[in-house]
Amino acid sequence: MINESGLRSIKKLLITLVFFNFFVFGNLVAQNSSITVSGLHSVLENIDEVPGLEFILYFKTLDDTTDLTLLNFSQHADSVNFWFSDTIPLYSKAVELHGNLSRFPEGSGSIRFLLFKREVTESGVVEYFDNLIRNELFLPTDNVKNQFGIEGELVVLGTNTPFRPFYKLKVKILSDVKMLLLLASLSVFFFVSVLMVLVMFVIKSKKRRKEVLTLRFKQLCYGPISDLLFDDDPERLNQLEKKDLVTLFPKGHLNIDLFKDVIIQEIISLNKNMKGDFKTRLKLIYRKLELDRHSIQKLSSKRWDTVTSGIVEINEMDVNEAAPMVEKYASHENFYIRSNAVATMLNISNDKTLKVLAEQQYPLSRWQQMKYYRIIKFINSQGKVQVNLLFESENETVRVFGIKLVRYLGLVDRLPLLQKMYESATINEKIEILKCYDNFNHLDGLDDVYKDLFTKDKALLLNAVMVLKNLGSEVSTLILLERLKKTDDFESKMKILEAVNALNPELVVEGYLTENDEDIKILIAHIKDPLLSHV
Amino acid sequence: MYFLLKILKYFGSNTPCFFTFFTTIFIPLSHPKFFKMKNVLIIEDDKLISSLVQFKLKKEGYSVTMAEDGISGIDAINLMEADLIITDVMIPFKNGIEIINHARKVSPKVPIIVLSSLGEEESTVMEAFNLGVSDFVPKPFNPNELAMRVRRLINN
Repeated sequence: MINESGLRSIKKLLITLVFFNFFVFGNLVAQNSSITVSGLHSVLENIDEVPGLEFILYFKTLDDTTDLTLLNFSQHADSVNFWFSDTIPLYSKAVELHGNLSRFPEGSGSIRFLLFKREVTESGVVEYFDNLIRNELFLPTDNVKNQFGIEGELVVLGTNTPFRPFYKLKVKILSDVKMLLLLASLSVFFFVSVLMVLVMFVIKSKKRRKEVLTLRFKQLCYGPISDLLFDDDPERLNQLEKKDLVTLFPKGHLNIDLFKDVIIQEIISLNKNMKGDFKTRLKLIYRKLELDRHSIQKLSSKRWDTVTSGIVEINEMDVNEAAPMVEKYASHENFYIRSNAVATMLNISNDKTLKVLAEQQYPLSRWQQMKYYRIIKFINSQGKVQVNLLFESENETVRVFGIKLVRYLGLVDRLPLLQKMYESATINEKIEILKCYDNFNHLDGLDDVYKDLFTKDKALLLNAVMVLKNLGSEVSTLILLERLKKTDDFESKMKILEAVNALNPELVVEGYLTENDEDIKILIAHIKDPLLSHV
Repeated sequence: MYFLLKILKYFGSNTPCFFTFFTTIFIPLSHPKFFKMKNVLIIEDDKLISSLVQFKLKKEGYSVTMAEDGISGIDAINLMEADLIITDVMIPFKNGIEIINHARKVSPKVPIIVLSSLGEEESTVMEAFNLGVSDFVPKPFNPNELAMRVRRLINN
């Protein structure tokens, strides 16, 4: 017994055989024609008129009195001994005329070939015939087929049928491998394009349907949400259960994911635009409708945008119990998932040590820092955050962000710690620490500033100079003037001179008198000019 | 209506007194102009906020008309006799300032409340005040507070 898969295999084999047989069939009709120069005359005698091919007879005589006008010959204008006939379309007629010339033994005649009125040799005529036959523009009759030496089905069919240039074109195309490849690629292209158009159409119609549904669902949300928010009895919402709330919405709609998404978005949007007890009410509606479950469910999605929206919803609606699930995404490779997960963790975990931030492996962008700062600022308003963990992070950007937080949140008590860190800090950390010294007028940090005043890093130097400008002393001016001699950079010179001028304006004038550096002269003139000093 | 019945009961069958009450109190009070609901025009592109404010104001007894963009807002100002206009600053097609300017030309005495986020440029808010807006309610806002401001401005 042959099972189902066996039958399928046989069917496949049969189809393959039929397929190949089709092409083999195509190959059979391929032809190869050849006419030899020697056989040309016998061929020409047996065929009718050939388009473009004509014949002419030349006759050369030694006798000036020979007259061929009776045979319709014309005498050459330059030579009385040279006669030529009219053009003759049939070779047999030309041969016959040539036979008549035998009556004039004083001369000799010859048949010449004219191809489109131009004289050609016999090999030229053979080539012309080959072209005609190859392109099926000329099909020889039965009685000459053997002289052509053509074999095969096409010749047999061609000789029996009227002239048709594209006869059996279909079969011919299928016998050509290049043509087949071209046809195959064109077919693939056509099917792929049709498929793409179909896919685009489906996606677009789906999107359109989603947009229409979203708009409809939005309209359906307004009424119930407004009812619940502006209820005359504020306590009633607390007493309501999900089954009571569901009745306010159209039947079955709360089981549709899109409707849930729309209602969550509307609640979040209102939460952003409302204040007072309305925020609490909105969160209560969200919880009572068990939309928090929907948001948590989104975290297990494979799509990054769905996961991100779930995290954002958890963040906005303060779903604290989802913290362990969100924490898993805090080190996710996707930037949006990671950023939102960290922001959410900072918001809902209520961890003042900012552990989730300290454990970040990826560098923090400025946008992320701004986002996190807003949350940390809010946490700090409820109780001081501890940034020490951030200083111990392996991630440089996190450490730099920690130092920035000291400055932004006014954590003055962390300045001694920053001073301890300074020695082993990186350039970026040092720059931030210097900004902290400057911001909090931390004079104890001046030693660190002096140490790095001779650094090769321009940004660090400029920040050190800035600190000295604001916090420096008499000693600082001397050190700054020393540094001035060792720099060639115009901007550095300008900043140092500005700092010196701020600390001791008289010293700058003295410097002007003694200094030979053209840049310094220009800068001092600029600084001392009351009109230019603020430019 | 309840009070009206009480009054009628109080006057009882005292015909001259009833006639005096009818001509001096009831007829003037029953004039359509007196009972006409105050019309509030809300020009806000955020449909959710505008529907919420509409819901609250309707509950407070106002007739509310909504416009979603600047052009329909200006049309509404021209067509209806609004007793108060609540407008956002950032709305499609026309700037909120243009709307305030137009409203001031068409009906100079109608109070205008600007409902906008605090993040918007200070210069825009100042320009709105210079054009004579009556109040500024920053987002996020409390709808109850907004309703109170509406009531105060309309009564004044």
